[in-house]
Parts: sequence; C-alpha cells; structure tokens
Amino acid sequence: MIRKELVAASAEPLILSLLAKGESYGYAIIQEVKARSDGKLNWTDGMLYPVLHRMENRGLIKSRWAESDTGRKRKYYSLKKDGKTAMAKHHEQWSLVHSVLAGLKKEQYV
Amino acid sequence: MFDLEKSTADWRRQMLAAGIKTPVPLEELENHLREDIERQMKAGLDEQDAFRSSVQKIGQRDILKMEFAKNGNSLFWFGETKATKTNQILGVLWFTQCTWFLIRYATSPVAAAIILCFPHYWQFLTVFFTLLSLTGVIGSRLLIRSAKSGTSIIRIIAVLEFLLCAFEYITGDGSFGSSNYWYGILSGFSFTTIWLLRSSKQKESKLAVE
Repeated sequence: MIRKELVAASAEPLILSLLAKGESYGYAIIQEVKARSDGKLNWTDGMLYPVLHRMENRGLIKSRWAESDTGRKRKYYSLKKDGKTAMAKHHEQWSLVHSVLAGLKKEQYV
Repeated sequence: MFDLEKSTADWRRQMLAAGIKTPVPLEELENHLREDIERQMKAGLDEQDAFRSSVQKIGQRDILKMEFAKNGNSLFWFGETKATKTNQILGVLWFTQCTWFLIRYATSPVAAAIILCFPHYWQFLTVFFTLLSLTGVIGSRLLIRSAKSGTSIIRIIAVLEFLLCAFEYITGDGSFGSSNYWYGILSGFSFTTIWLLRSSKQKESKLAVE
C-alpha cells in the first residue's frame, strides 16, 4: 500500500492527467486509478469529491450534470485551460523528482 | 429482510445530519454509492453485503464532512487563494453598491418625474443606469462565486463607472444631483477595483500549482 501522504499529493496530477483524455465522473476516475495502479493507489471513495470540488473552485476543471445510458444522473468533469497548465507543471515537477531519485538509485549500484 | 432503498435513505439522512449538503455534494455521493452497489452485486455479492461494503468504501461521514468543510462550502464560500479572496471582497462591495443603485433608480420618484418631463433623453439614461446596475448585481454575484465571467463584467462596469464619475468630477456641474466629493469616492473605488482585479488574475495563474 502507498503511504497516504503520497496518495494525497498525487491526487491532483492524476485527476488532471485522467481528465486530459476526456471528460469523466467520480466513480470512473476512482476505478481507472485503481486499475492502472493494480489496486495499490487506493482512495477512500468519498474523499475524491472534495478534491474535485476544490479543483473546480480554483478554475482547473469544470463540471456538468448528464444522464448516463442507464438513466443515472452523473456529474461529469472536464479540464479547463488553467487545468492544462497546472497539469504540465505537475508533470514537470514529478519528472524532476523522479529523475533525481532514479539518478541517486543508479549511483548506489555503481 | 434487508431493504436497499430504505438503507440508502437512512444513509442519506445520516449524511445530511452530519452536514453534507444537498444537492451537491450529497447527490454526487449517493450516485456513487448506488453505482458501486450495483457493480458489487453484479460481481456476486448480495444486496446487504454490497451496501455495507460500498458505505464503508465511501468513507465515514465525519471525515467526509471535514474534507468538504476545507472547501468552505458551509455558510459562505470563501476562496482558497489570496486572489480569490480579494475578488470576493470586491464582489460583496460591488453587490452592495449596485443593489443600492438599482433600488434607487427603480423606485426613485425623481427618476419617474424626469422620464415624464424629458421622455427621450432621460428615459434613455435611466434605463441605461438601471441596466448597468442590474448587470453589476449579476456580475458581483458571479464574482463572489469566483466565476471568471464575474471578473470581466465587474471590470467593464468599473471602467464605465470610473469614466462617468471622473467626467462628473472634472466638469463638476452636479447634473446628477450629487456632490463632487461623492464622485471622487466612486471614481476612486472603481479605479481600485480595476487595479486589484487585474493584479488578482496574475497571482491566480502563479498559484495554479501549489
């Protein structure tokens, strides 16, 4: 299991990157993150929504209510321009952390 | 006998009691719960077990409430960043000002008398000011809610108000029946708004990633 601090810190870049592929809704976002991490990134389901609402308040994403094929109402989220900028910055920062870490790890085996 | 609808309604009531607001976010959480129950039942769980497991996965209501409270949705939504806070304070000020003007124009006997005496010219001006105040009320509401359109609307109105008041201040003929002192304050307020709204936007883009 991944530590909760890391889970919390990675929520925003993951949501932004997922929404960059197209609009989605809470349940689907959780399922996809779970599937892509082989169940290791496990969010408490309800906790996703305050994060989504915060991101919406900050103008990173927008939402709309729509009906699914089964007739269930869903709130779909999609990326806004500021969200794309934020995502690019996240990618840049996470890549930097990753490259520093990878470089240090490599040196240990030299 | 387990009743899914009744249990879901109970869960909903508990969430409401804990202070989770309806329709948002409670509707969203309930839709999530129902979708998860459905999926778990398809995977082979019975109704009761699926319900229990989904409720557990969605999280305890007190912790959820605390997380939502961080968004400040409880009484009055107050922005997370300094920039949105500034915009909201300006929004409240403009809301007060425009509502006051709107009530004044809409109910003023002077305005009614002016329209009767000078139907063409003054009617146009009164309608113009009423519409301007109405737009201001809508714009400031949007600004309080941190909508970007609110920033644009209030900026345009502030520019118009600044130009009108500055013109009145300079010409100083008191044709609108108020003193120069008053126009000075209003043009100063408009100018500050234009200045602060612009600088907020710059800060916002820097804060997009924390």
